[in-house]
Amino acid sequence: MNPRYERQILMIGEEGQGKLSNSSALVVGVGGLGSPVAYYLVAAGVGRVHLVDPGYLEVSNLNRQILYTTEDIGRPKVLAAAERLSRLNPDVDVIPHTVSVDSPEFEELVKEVDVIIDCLDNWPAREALNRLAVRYGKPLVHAGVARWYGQATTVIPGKTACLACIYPKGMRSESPIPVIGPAPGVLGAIEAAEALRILLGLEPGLAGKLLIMDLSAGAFEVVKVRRRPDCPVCGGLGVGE
Amino acid sequence: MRTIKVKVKLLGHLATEYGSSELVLELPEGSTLRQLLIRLRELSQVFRDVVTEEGETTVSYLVFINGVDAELLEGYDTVLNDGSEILLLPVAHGG
Repeated sequence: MNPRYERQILMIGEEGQGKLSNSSALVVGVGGLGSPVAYYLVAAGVGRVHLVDPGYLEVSNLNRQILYTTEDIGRPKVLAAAERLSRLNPDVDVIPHTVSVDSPEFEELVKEVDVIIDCLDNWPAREALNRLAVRYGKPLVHAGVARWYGQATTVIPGKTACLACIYPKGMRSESPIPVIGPAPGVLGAIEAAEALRILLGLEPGLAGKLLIMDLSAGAFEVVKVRRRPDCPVCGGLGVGE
Repeated sequence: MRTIKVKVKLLGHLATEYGSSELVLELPEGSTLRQLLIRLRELSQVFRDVVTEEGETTVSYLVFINGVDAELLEGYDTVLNDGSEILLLPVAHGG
């Protein structure tokens, strides 16, 4: 047994650990949500973790983007992140990509991974990501945050509601979005748990459900979300839940 | 006139701005979601940015009735019942 993973092998067994080390994840956006997601996936020993973000680290990112240090300001985020994560766990192949979600390179990445984690910071990019995840049948773990607040869900294309089933069209994001660090911290950790469950072949807790978190009220609500038969993105995949 | 009482739960910045995360409204029996939303708009300035004059939510807000997305029911024409619980939530975009 690799002692690095001892505590989780007690839960998931060597077989589960083997599944993680033979799997790949695509972390889309390496900011407030992407930081804890990438940390936990790499720490857990997911074999290959792709990081996608075309951005450079700004000082105003540091209140919530816990992958980075002050020395990283001005650097491409994915490069700084990959260095740090490789020091955390050299067993994992951490691959940085400075591409955007509408590039052909990104589409190729979507095709090859086992799970996608939405850690984006704007709605148009999420809509594009949702379309690609549905097109290639890849599980998509979603979260969004603002202030003390946020939501998360897991999309299993063809089975559970996709982002276009849940959210109204034409949403445009305010910018900059106010946010306190623990909000993406909590939701990013939840996304990582969802991704690990998918990679382990276990039922993700938030498939078909929308978790709504309000840290100002200490409140977590879960509501059911269902596929829309007339969904312009996943409606053609046949009847699901 | 017979009436019903419905509970409206607010999440995120709505609760902060309204000053409470929950309110109970009394409505005429047979009232629809649209009528409830118009009532909210009349009730507080907070809801002016959330509900249009026509009684529909603006983009970036979701409405659930008893835990089900209103869009999957009869939308704004969904008839509310005594004890119905309506969840009004803003969608968070940041990452």
